Amino acid sequence: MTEAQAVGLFKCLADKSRLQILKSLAAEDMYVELLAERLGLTAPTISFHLKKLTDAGAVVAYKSQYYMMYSLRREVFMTSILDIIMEESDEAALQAEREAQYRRKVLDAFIEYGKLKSIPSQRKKERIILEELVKAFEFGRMYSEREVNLILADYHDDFCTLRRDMAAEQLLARNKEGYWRVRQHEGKENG
Amino acid sequence: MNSSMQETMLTFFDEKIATCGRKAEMLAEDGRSDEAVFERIRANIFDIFRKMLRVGIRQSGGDGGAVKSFFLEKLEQIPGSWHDSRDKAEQHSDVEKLQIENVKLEAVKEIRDEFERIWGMGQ
Repeated sequence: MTEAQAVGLFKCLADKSRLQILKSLAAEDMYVELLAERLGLTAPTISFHLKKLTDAGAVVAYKSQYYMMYSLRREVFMTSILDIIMEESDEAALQAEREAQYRRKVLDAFIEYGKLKSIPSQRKKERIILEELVKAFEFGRMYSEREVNLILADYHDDFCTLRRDMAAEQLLARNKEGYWRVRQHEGKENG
Repeated sequence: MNSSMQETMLTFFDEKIATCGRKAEMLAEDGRSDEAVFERIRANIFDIFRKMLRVGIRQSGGDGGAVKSFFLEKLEQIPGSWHDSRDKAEQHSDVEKLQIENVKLEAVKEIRDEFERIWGMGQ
């Protein structure tokens, strides 16, 4: 378990309702309505807590006939706290994790359900967004400007800015025939 | 909407805000911080509409009908984007957002029910 995973799990467990849910799931696998009835909470509140527990890796969901059942991930709770705190911190891994977290935060702030809410004004943040959007383009394929515009218009109305900035950031390259996606080492070498 | 109805509605808001605040405190003390946040969100919704009612009363110059239409318009207008947001969250199985939008919309429903009840009693 990484430090970030451990922090996420501990944060998630620091809630009485979620502990009550885990106690119930320790006895047997259950579905939302049954948990709601047993714990005196509404079904949407139980779903909310189960989502947090699932994201933290404490619980797993599976389908059983008509119900979505929830089960305790016992192996997570078999890990001792001493094991977690004795695990050595890998600085490079920590750095990568921090970067990934920052990236996630930027993506969550600007992209909602696959649509770009606004184009970030900070270059660093815009770069992260553009790196995400450029994944819509295949490597080794030539795109006309119209095709590029159509793909980017799915994300934001200002597709012209996105197209220009992708080229400026060397995520897309262009010549007279059109645009193509640049592999990152290729972009850096050329830049 | 006469002044006694306006007072009843304002008292409803005061009581709701106080109740949600107390519940939020109790839940937080009980180690249920997320549910405490939901109560604070509910309290905020009641507070927004209490402010709207006060604005309506101030702007109406004593015209009860004007207060009623101003408030009903706000009851439609303000939660408009919350409905969209809830629908989007539902489509994308975003349980966390869905719960928050539901809490907001449930509070609006309570306000509407109470408003209609008070208005109906005064007819």
